[in-house]
Amino acid sequence: MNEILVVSSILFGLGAFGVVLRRNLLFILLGIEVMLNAAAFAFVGIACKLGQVDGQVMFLLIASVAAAEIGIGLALLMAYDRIFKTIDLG
Amino acid sequence: MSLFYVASTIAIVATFMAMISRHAVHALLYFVLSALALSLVIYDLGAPFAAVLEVIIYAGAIMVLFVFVVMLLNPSRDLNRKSLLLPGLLGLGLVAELCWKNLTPAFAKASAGTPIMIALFQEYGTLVELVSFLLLAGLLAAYRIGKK
Repeated sequence: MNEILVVSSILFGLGAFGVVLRRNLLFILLGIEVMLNAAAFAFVGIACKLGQVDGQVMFLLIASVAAAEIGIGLALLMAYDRIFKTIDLG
Repeated sequence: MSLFYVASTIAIVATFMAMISRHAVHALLYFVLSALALSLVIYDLGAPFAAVLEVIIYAGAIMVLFVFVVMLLNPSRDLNRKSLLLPGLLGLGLVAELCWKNLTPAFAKASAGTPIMIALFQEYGTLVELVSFLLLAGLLAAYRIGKK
């Protein structure tokens, strides 16, 4: 069970690294996706080790939230690009 | 168990390359690879439903949205041959692993999806309805923002 949590934490850390250090809005959204993915993976992995199906239900919920979030996020990114002519921050 | 380590190593390397690569298209390619590797890990752990969802939603729907936006923003950047080498090697590793594991007879047994469906539509029926409302709200909001 430990190795699942280690892999999930490393993926989450990489996503957080991308969100904090990149100056491009597209990479920030990608980092958020990576973090959501890592959290969902922790749910599924631990639930599989415990022999339950609730983790996969939670995976469905997290994936739907990620899909809705990325739809709105990319629409906002297009609007940002239309106004400021760039997607780099600062 | 070795499949877990190899596939999760591929997932971590691909995610790292996605986070540090300069061009957005390369990052998206690496992220697709990371999602596929993670899907293989999940399948190996014994959750085929979540593995299929990972491929359909992450490597499919979300990445198609990203690629559309990248192509709309700067259509002139294209992939050159050299930048395809590492993703190709990692993906080949994944395919080889899948073929090797698929020949093992115990692998096919874990694919029963019935308990998940019962849980989804009995205990968690309200959750499924709320998720559909969430997706509808996301669709409407994206439409409203995208309109001039």
